[in-house]
Amino acid sequence: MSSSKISYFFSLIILIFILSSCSYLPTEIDIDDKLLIEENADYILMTTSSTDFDKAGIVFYPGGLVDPHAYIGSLKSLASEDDRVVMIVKAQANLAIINSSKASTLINEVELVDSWVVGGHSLGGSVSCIDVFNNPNEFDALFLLAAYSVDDLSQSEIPVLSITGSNDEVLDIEKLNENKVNLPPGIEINAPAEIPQSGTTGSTLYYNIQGGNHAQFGTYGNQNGDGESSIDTATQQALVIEALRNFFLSNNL
Amino acid sequence: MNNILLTICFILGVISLNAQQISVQIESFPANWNNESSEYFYGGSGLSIDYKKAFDFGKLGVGVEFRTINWGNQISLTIPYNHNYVVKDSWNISASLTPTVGLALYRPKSLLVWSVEYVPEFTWTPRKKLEYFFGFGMRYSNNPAYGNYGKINRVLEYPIKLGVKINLKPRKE
Repeated sequence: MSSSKISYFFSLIILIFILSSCSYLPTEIDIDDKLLIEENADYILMTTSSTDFDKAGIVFYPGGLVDPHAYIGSLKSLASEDDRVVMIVKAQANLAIINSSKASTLINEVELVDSWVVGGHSLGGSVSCIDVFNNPNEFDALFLLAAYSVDDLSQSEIPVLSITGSNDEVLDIEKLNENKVNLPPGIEINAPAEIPQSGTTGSTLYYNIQGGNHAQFGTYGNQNGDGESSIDTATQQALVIEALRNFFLSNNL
Repeated sequence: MNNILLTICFILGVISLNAQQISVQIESFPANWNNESSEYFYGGSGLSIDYKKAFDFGKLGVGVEFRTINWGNQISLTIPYNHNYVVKDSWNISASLTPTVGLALYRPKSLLVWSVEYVPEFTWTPRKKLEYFFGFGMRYSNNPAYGNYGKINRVLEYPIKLGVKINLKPRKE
């Protein structure tokens, strides 16, 4: 093979890498003075001086090719208002699928928290299901934002909350519906207030946010191929937080 | 982005016409320092190709590298300078000093990154055309503008490299 052919071959490989490797950067957010953000090479940790370590901690896998800092804005109130430990996992290449057991490993670094809820957005949601599948004893609940499970968790004894946006055009709805068999039996709800108060273990709550889209589960602006939302980012994220709060309350987490 | 790709293709095309040696290498980057903490972490992995030409003072080249790093993915233009320290019939020991400048790949806009590394290499030279090498060294990388988004934007890593060198003009015995 001549040097020019080798050079074209590698240029092509590099071009493919480049076109498929750009991550979404976070947009600017306001950070509450109360919020303490620690960061190392593996995770971003949000706490406050009044964090209650008896409450379940939240460990979160970001969406594929989204910078993990883009979820500080959407999850910060769970730390600053609810006094929970919130950990956002950093993944190689910003693709959580490369580190699909990282959350179950990292939670051991916060020794004061005994109980953990794992969740994720998009690809990160599917990866959180993989982690639960491989480490069923590590987590007490699972929440999915615009995501589905490809592993069979239908017999899982943990409560599951699945939140989607009605204007999401990135999520493959057909696959979401096909893969509902991989989660515990479903209950459809139309608002966070409809979450049963008596516990939801062994079932999956499906909540479709009217007017919400894919990108507004994080804070990184518009995403290619996504639908246009009819509610703003703050409203969509407030509905997610309200649903999560009721879900945690219902399951004593 | 298209301009960047065209520039990279142009540089590789021009350099390859004058190259005497092509190196292709896979890289792994264990690390133990960043600007937030000093502890072991895995920095990422990468693939690079460079084209070198021999001069009296050593080999000088130009190449590209694609790699994952703590802040995501990046592509860089590399300018390796390689100097032989020990040369035997079937092996040699050399070292490469490589400054790089490139882009951390983000939307809506990519960020400028740079690094400098020093990697001693052991090269096995069983044939005139092909050589195989292993390297282990040190690299400092900086992504200045990423400090606006995250806390970690500087890392110190220990690159491990495995690769092959293709001599376009066979080396002299």
